[in-house]
Amino acid sequence: MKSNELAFFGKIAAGVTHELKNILAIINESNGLMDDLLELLKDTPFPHREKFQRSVKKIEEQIRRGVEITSRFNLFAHSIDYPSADVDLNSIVRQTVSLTQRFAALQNVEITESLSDRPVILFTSAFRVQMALTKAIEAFIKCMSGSGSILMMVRKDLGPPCLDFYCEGECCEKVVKEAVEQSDEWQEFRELAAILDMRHEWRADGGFLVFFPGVGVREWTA
Amino acid sequence: MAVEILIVDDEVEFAETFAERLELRGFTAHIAHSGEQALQLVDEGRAKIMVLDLKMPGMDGLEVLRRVKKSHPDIEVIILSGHGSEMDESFVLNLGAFAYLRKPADIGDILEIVKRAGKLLADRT
Repeated sequence: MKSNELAFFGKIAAGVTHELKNILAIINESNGLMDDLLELLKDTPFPHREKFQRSVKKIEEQIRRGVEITSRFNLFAHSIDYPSADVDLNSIVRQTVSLTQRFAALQNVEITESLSDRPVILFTSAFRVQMALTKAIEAFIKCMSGSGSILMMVRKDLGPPCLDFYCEGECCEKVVKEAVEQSDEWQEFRELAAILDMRHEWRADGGFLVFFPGVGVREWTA
Repeated sequence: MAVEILIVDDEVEFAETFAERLELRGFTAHIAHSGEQALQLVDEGRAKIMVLDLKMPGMDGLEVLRRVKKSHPDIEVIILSGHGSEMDESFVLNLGAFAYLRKPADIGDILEIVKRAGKLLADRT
């Protein structure tokens, strides 16, 4: 996809998520008004009160869920705004985990994150890094069977900023380097990693490390 | 006397329901569905606190904020918008907004901020 086509997609997607938030806001206020009225009538006999209260709570929970998803998607859409920009690796990982959780859950795989306690700033394309990490995750999942989990850990103790993938659970032994490397998703990951200057290597225990370029890496200061 | 709050939002359903909820809590709520209408109500003295959306057809929320803070600096403006980033937040706060909330917001959070804005207004008089 050309960069102007990608930018167009991002602009439209961001606009749609804004509109969805407006819709969620209207549902939120209408549901809140019902809750207010139920509270006002708390001393008045009211048939099926508990059913109404339960429904109000369910709508409230679903609004919260909808807001979380639209906010994530909105951030993703805005990640196309600039070809390269300062971006926190923690945010990229949090965003990638959030966006891939659904695909992983369908394969009985849980994706989790462990973030650095401080921002790890890279000068890169957030959109492309997310795409590369998603491709790697897809390649891992493809080679898993049964349930399991993938932990993505942001590390700063190995020199350049790094992302450590741990595969755990009954599937772990089946995530073998050879099988992963044969998948189409892995080839896409490798191509993107090369473009983004991301070095990667397998650990002896079967884990996987992705290093991000040191040039432009700096700490955010308050 | 009840604190007068002006809700400025082109989403009619949102503004009306939100106003109803504020009135249930003892506030006097006015509604404007455009920036131009909001400025007119401000000139008529119908707002001490303004809850303002950013993206509206015609005059947008940023322009309303700029003009209100210039002509009526005593009015406290709370931004409540579904559009916006952290950059927008610091930008509007620099323009003089009292607070920035993202839609949909919890009524408890909004009331907490309205209460703080109300206290600031009372301390000034």
